[in-house]
Amino acid sequence: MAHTKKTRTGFDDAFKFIETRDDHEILKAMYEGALKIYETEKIYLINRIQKKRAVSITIINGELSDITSSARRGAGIHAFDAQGASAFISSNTYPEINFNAVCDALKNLIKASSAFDIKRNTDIFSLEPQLNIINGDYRHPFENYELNDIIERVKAANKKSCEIDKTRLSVTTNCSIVIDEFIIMRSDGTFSSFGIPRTALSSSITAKDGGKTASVGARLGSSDLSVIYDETTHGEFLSQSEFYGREAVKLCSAPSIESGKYRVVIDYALAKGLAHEAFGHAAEADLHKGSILWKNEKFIKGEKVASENIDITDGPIFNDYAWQPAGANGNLRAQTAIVKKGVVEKSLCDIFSAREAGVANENSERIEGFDCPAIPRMTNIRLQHSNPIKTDKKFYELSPSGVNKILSDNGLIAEECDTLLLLGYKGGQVSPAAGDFVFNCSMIYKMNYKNEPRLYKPAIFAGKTLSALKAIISAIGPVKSDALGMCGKNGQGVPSSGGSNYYLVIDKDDDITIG
Amino acid sequence: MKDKVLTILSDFLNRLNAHKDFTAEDFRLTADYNESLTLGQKENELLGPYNMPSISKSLTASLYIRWLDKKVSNVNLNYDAIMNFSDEIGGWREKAFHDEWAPAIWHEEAFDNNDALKYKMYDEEIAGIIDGKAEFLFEAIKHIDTKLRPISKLITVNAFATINRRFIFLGPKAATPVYDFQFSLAGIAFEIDNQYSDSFIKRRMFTLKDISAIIEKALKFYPSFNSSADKIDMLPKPAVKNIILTPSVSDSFISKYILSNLHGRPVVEKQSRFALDEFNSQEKHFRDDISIKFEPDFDEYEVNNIPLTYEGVYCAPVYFVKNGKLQTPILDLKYAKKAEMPPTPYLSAESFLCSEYKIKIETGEYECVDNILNDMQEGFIIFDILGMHTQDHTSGDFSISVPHALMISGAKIAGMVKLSISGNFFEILNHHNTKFLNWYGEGDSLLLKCTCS
Repeated sequence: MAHTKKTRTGFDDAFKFIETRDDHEILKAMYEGALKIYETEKIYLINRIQKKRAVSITIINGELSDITSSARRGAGIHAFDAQGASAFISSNTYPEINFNAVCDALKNLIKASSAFDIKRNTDIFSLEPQLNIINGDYRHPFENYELNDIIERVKAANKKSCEIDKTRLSVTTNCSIVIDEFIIMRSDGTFSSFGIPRTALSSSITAKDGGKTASVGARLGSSDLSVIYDETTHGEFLSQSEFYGREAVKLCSAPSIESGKYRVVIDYALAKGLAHEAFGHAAEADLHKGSILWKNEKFIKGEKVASENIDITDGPIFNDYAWQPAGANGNLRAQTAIVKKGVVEKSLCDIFSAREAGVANENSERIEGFDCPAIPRMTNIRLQHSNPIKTDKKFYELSPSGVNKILSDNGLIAEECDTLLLLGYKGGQVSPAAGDFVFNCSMIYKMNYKNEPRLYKPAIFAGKTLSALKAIISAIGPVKSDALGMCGKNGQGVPSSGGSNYYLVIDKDDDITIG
Repeated sequence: MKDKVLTILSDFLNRLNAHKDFTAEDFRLTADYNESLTLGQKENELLGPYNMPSISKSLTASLYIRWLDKKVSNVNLNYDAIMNFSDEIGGWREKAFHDEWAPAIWHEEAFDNNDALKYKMYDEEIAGIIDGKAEFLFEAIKHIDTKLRPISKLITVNAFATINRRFIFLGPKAATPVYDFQFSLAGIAFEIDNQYSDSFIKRRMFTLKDISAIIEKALKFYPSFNSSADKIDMLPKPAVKNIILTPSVSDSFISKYILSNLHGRPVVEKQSRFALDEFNSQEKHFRDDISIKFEPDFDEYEVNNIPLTYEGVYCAPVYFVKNGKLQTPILDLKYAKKAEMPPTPYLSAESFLCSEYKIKIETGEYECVDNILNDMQEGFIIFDILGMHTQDHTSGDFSISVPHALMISGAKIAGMVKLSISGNFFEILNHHNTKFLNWYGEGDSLLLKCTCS
């Protein structure tokens, strides 16, 4: 699937690839231009070209409400002088770009800003050159399917949710399909070409009953159209929608949980939120300073933050919604073991942040589009317990009472406090300086020894990140890493995903509150 | 801003109208040409590889087509698609669909392009900054850094300037724009120690005086962020207490619980707290003294000062709630048709490329916040909240973390505490104890009672 070389001898292959493109003239000019301006003027360029197409289908209560299609194409050029001052220019007029004029403008910008006392970074000059031509080999690529058939599948999924309770439920289902291709060319000869296609299927379900209203949602994604055409994956979306649809009606009359300290069991989507928002962003090297992972002017490598059963890993997974095989500077991205056996190991960093953080470069940078600067960021983050309680059931086959039974059978219902099961991630927010997190769920169940859990309205799950990690005492099931989201760091929206074992058990802790 | 853009668009439409496959009954093209400059300081260091000076130029457009066979298409175009549209028409047709609620192209009677001159939306100074005279942005960042350095360790500042030209072409067969606006936006935002942030944004270039106001506020309140108080005496267990929401926190409550429930689509599709029938019958949902409205801010260069929606509908002042009674949802053309009501100003980011539009709560009496604080024996000032976007706007219930609240005891600031606050926003807003305050001339804020823990 990937054609990768870590030497500069791959230039010929890059030129061969360029010749196959309809925009080969400007690509060649930009590639050769980047090499030349470095040789002659010691100006280092990172050229990024993006070509993106998207279609969004919206079904409301069984009827097609909207189809919007979008096209986006452009180029962004990040330039560095020999002293490490930099500037960035982007334009969506690609392929109509006057490359030499853009280079002159970049040089002027660098010259103007050099008059001030600015931060300079020359680390880009030490990044190893690579050739990466990556073609995804997908089972359900977009081009194999008819739009009308996709619409019918989305419509059928929507109707299935509506039919749970036609009088009390209103359901909006959206299918977003994005074909997103990047070419990255650097002054050291690096040439990377890769696609990050993605499909997201989501339903927003509103229940009205007895003058009360409740809203919940279901969502699942993939790189290709698996979430629509793969029987298992699509079946999971339907199961998720059905479960939330049924519970939404009950939520209208559910009581509120009393604010307090509890033992909590969170599903893998909430665990993804915990791993991504509360821990992962602090592990991004441009955000280290002032975060919970920065002490005494350095990254806390080697510090124990969880039990030895806990690993936290980030990295691209093929056909995942947030799949991105190479960083936005063009080099391949690996799996980064942020926490290994409970100990902080690595940071999510790029070439600009690695040295200051005192860690190795992981090429962890991402961008929303050609017009954005690259910043270190997660792709798919997993919080994994190495010794979970095993189950032969699939995630959506485990009902709340099924989870309750597993907890009872394994002595995990707390005796000194109530044990709550929190389902469905509705987003969260984190204060990086203090490590405070707040997440909201879709619903809460209070566990009991009769295995007859009682439903409560959602309430916030708030606490301190490091306390929550240390309080993880058990887990249920294998790792499920398809909880998707849209990460908005620095105003750039990029797809994210991740997860954990089906469920994580977090013990009662003074630093963790529900409600 | 070059007239070349208008030439490109007119040429595109001339060619499109003549194309054999463009079998349109009518169309609307809303096109935006944008130039921007951003730069910043990250954690005390000016520029660097993440905050370098960045210049962006783009031409984008949204095209709404009503085809002869009564299907419609919604297409977002970029420069390449505009220049090479003949490769795209097949895709537009393929994605066309029947929609019985698809609106006709709107031709405004109450507004013509000359009226645009009344609206101060474009500042030549911003254009000059993008064109290379950016020294003031550096000066402004340095000014903030110098003033705030005595009270903080890490200062991050970002500044931006954008200029735009918007054209709205209304078919059929149009190749010259009905509306042609220039508008601009500039802003600066800072964050101290990853804990306290503030910003200033307007359609004109900001001044050091503008910045001084937000700096003074930080100097007044931020030092208390590092002086912790013990809330155990005031809150041994969860209890109902007085809280004051600062303007930004008030805005986030109003956006989440009121604005989200007023949008036409959720109202019409039964996904809002309020039903369409309740607007028709003007049901009472709020206190008698509460009205909720949108009106262009006729102060020059205010963000709310927008003349037209992206669909070309005049943004006339409108009450969504008057004297507690529902009046109209926020309606774009499609949902105006579906609701059988007139369209209203549509407050989305597409309207002049900003997401800062505000609805205003109009009420009989605003009290000065100092008077309230002078009388407050027990309570909290809420400076920021975590998790608002995760709340269920339809129910009105909220359960939110407050990382920074100033505890007030005996009418004095006792120090900083963390809180959780919960309740139902609609019940609280309608309670007679809830008061509307003027927060030091900066904006509206709220005094209310809710459960604190």
